[in-house]
Amino acid sequence: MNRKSCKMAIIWVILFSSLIGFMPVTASSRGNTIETAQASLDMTGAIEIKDPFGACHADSYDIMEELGVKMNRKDISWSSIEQGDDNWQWNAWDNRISELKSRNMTVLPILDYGNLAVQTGTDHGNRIHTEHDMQEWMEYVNECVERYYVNDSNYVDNWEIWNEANLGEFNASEGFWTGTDEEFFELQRRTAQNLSVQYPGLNILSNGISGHDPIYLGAMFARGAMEHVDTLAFHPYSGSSYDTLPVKIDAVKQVCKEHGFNGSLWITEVGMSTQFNPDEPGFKTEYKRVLELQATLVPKVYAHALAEGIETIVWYCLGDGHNFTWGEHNFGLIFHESNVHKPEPYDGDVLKPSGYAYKALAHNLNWSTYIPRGVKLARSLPSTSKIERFYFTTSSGDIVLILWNENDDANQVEFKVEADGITVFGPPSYKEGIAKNYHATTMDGMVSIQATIDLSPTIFLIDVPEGVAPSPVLIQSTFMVIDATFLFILPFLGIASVLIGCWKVFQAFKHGTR
Amino acid sequence: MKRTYIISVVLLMGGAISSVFSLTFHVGWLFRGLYMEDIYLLLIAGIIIPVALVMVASINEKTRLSVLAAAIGILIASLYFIYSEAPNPLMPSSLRLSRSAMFFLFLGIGMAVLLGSLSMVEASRLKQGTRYWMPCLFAGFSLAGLFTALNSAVGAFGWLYTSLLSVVIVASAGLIYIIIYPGRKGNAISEYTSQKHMAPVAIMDKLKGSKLAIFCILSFFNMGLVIGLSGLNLVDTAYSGVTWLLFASLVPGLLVGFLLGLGFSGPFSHEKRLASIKVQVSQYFLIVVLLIHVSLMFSFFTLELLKPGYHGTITSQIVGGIIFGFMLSTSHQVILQQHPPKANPLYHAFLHTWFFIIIVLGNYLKGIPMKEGQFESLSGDYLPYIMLVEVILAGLVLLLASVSYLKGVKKSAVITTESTLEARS
Repeated sequence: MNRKSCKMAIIWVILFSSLIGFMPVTASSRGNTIETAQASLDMTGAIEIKDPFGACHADSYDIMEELGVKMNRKDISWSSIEQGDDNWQWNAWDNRISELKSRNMTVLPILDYGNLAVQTGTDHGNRIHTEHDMQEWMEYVNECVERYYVNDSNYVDNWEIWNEANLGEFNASEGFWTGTDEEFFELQRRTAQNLSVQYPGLNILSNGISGHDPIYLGAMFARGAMEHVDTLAFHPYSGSSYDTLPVKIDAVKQVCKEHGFNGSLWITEVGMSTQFNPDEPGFKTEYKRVLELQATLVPKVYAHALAEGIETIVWYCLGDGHNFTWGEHNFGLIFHESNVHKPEPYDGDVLKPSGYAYKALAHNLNWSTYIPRGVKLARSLPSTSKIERFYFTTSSGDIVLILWNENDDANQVEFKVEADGITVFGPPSYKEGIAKNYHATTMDGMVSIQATIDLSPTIFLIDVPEGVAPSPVLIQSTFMVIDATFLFILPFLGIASVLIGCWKVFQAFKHGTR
Repeated sequence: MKRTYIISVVLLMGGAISSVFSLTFHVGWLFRGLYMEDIYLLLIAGIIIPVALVMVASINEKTRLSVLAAAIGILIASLYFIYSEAPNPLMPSSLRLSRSAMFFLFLGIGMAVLLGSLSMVEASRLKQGTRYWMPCLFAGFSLAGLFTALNSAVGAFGWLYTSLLSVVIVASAGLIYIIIYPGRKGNAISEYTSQKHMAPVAIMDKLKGSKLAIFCILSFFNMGLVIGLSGLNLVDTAYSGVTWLLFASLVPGLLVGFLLGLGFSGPFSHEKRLASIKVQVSQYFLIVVLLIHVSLMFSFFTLELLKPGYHGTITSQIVGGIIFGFMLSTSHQVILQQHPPKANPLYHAFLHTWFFIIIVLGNYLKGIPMKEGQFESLSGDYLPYIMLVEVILAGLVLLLASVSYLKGVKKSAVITTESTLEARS
C-alpha cells in the first residue's frame, strides 16, 4: 500500500468512527445472567431521614394527608394577624392549626411582611426600619409564638423569619422586602435574638431566600443576621431542570462552612410551574408534556436534596390556582377544581402527575435511611456515570430505589434482589401499577428487574421479606455508543492528532521547511 | 496547491468554526451566573491561554501545526472533565458548574476559538494557493453552518451531546488536515508562502488598515447582534426547536453573498489589473457591501423588535440565518480582497479570535434575563443608539473608501499619462 492509499484509509476510518460516535443507539453487550451483590450494606455516609415532606399554601387538609405531606408552610402575615394596633385576629390560624393537628401534621409559619395599619415608619411596601416599627414587629412575633408554641404545648416549634427578602426594589411599593439589605439583616438578627432568648426550644429559620445566591447569603452571615438562627432556608428554583441542585446545595454549604454555621439546611420552596394558555390551538399537547415534566422533578428534587442532607423540603405548592396562564397559579401538585382543560389521560384526576410522584415518595421515605453505597455498578463506563441512583431503606425494612439517566439515553439496566415483590412508580403518570418501562420476574425468593432508564426517574419499591436484611443492589447496564465514543473514538482522534502532528513537525525540521 | 490539501482546509474550517458556534451556543446562561472567581477562570482559560497559543502559532508553519494538534488534544481532554460533572439535558437557564468543570469548559471554548482562528489563517491563504478560493470559502462556511445546525438539532438530546458532536467533528477535521498536511519540502506550503505568488493580488492603499478595522468592528458586531437578538428572550425549549434553522439558513445567505462577490468580479479579476485600478474597483465592492450590511441590520432590527409576533418564529430564525450568512461571506470577501498578502498569520488569527469572541458575546446576549415587557421596550431603550453607532461607523468607512477611491483615480491618471507618453516616444 502506498503512502496516499494509507492516508486515505486513515481518513475513511476517521470519518466512519465520527459517524459511529453519534448514533444514539445502544449496543447491547450484557450477559444472560444477572449478578447479585454479595456484600452486605455499607452504611458509610448513611443519612437518617425524618419527616422531610412539606407543601406551601395548603388548605386542602385531606389531600395533604393523602399525599403524605407532613408540614404545611404558610405566611402568618403580620397584616392579617394584627389588623390595627393590638387588634389580633387568630381565627384563620386557629382553624389551620386545629385541622393540621387532627391529621398529625405540623406547620411552618412565616413571620412576614409589613403592616401599614400599625407601622409609622413607612406608608408603602414592606420595610421595617424605625425603632417604633421594630418594637411593633417584635410584639407581633411574640404574640404568635406565645399562642402557638408556649400556649399550645410547644406544637409549633419551627418559625421562619420573612420570605424571600432578597426580592424587591428599594423603596418600591411592591416586593417582598423594600428596604435595604442592611435593614433586613438587622431585622432578622434582632428577631432571631429575641426568639432564641425567650423561647430556647424553637427552631428559628432564616429568611427563605429566593434562589441560593451565595453572595447574598455571605452578606447575611457577615452582617450577623445568622447569629441566633438555627436553620438556613433557601429556595433553589431551577426552572424545568433540577440536575444541578447538588451544585447549588454545595454552594450554600460552602458559604455556611466559611462562616462556621453548623445548623440545618431547609429548602422551604422548590417547584415548577405548569402554566398554559387554553386559547392557544393544540395547547393540550404542550400542557401534557409540562405536567409530565413537573412530575419527574419531584423524585429528582427529593432524592438529590435528601442525599445532600437537607432536612426538610417544602414543595411550592399544594394546589393550582384558577388563572391557568399565570405561572404563580400553576406550581401545584393538584389541579384546580375549575380546570376543565386537563389533557388525557389526566382529565379525570384530582392529583397532577407530580402529585402522584410526591405521594409515592412521601409514603415511603418518611423515617427512612439514605444509604449512598446501597447501589453498586457492575462496571464503570462513561454512560453509567450518568445513571443517578439513590438507595433508601424504609422504616419497615423495604428498599426504595430511585434511578434515572442524566444523559437522557434509554439505558437498559438489570438488577436482582431478594424480595417478595416490587412496586414501580414510573413516568409519565407516576400512578401505581401504570409504569411500563420495566419487566420483573420472581423466582426462588429473588426478583429480577430489567428496566429502561431515561431522564425521567423511576421509583422502585422493593418489598424485602420480613427477617431479611436489605441487600445492596448491583446494577448492570448496557454498553452504549457514547461509551465507545469516550473510550475509543475521542482518544483515537486526540492521540492520533498529536502524534501525527509531531511526526509532521519532525519531518518539516528534517527537511528544513519553515 | 494540492486538491486534497484544499479540501482538508475546507473541512477544518467547517469543523472548527462550527465548534465555536456550538460550544458557545449556551454560554449565555452560564455567563450570567458567573462570580468574580469564575471571571478570572474565564480570562485565563478562555482568553489568555488561547491568545498566547495564537501568538506561538504565528511564529512559523511548524509551530502552527504543533499548536493545532495540541489544541485538538486539549479540547478533547477538556470534554472529559466537562462530561464527568455536567448534567447533559440541563441548560440553558439553571446551569451551575463546579470550578474545575467551568475551567475546562472555558478552556474547551478557548481551544475551539483557537482552532477556528487557525483554520481561518489557513483559509485566508487559499487565496494565494488557488484561483477558486471564493468557492472554497463558501464551502467552508457552509459546512460550518450545516455542522452547527446538526449540532443544535442533536441538542434536543442534551447540550453535552451537542458539545460531544462538535468536538468529534472538529477533531476529525483537524486530524484529516494534519494527515494531509505536507511536511516535506516542495509542498503546498512553500507554494503559498511565495511572495512572488502573492504580489499580484495586493492592494496598495495607505487607508486600508483603518478602513478594514472599522469595517470589521461594524460587521462583526452586526453578526454578534444577529446571533444574540434572534435568540433573546426565547423559552428554553426553543433552543432544541427552532434555533438550528438559523445555522442551516447560513447556506443561502452565504450563497447570495458569494454571488454578489462574483457579480462585482473584483475578487477574481482585479489581480490582473493595475494596482491603482484595483484600489478603485475594490472600493465599489466595499461600499456596496457596507450599505447592504447597514440596510440589512435596520431591517433585522425592525422585524425583530417592532413587528409583533415575529421574534422567535421559524421565519425569524431563517431570515436571521440568511442575514448572518450574507454578512459572513461578504465581510470575508472584503477582508481577503483588501488584506495585504504580506501580512503574517497573526493578523488573520487575531482578527478571527476577535470575531469569535464577538460571537460568544452574541450568545451571551441570548442569555440575558428579561422581565415581562422588557423585550418590547428594547426598541425604545437601545435601538436608536445602536442605529446611531451603525450610521457613524458606516459613515467613517464610506469616507475612507471615498478618499481611497479618489487617490486611486489620481494615481491611475498619472500612470495612464506616463504610459501614453512612453507609447508616443
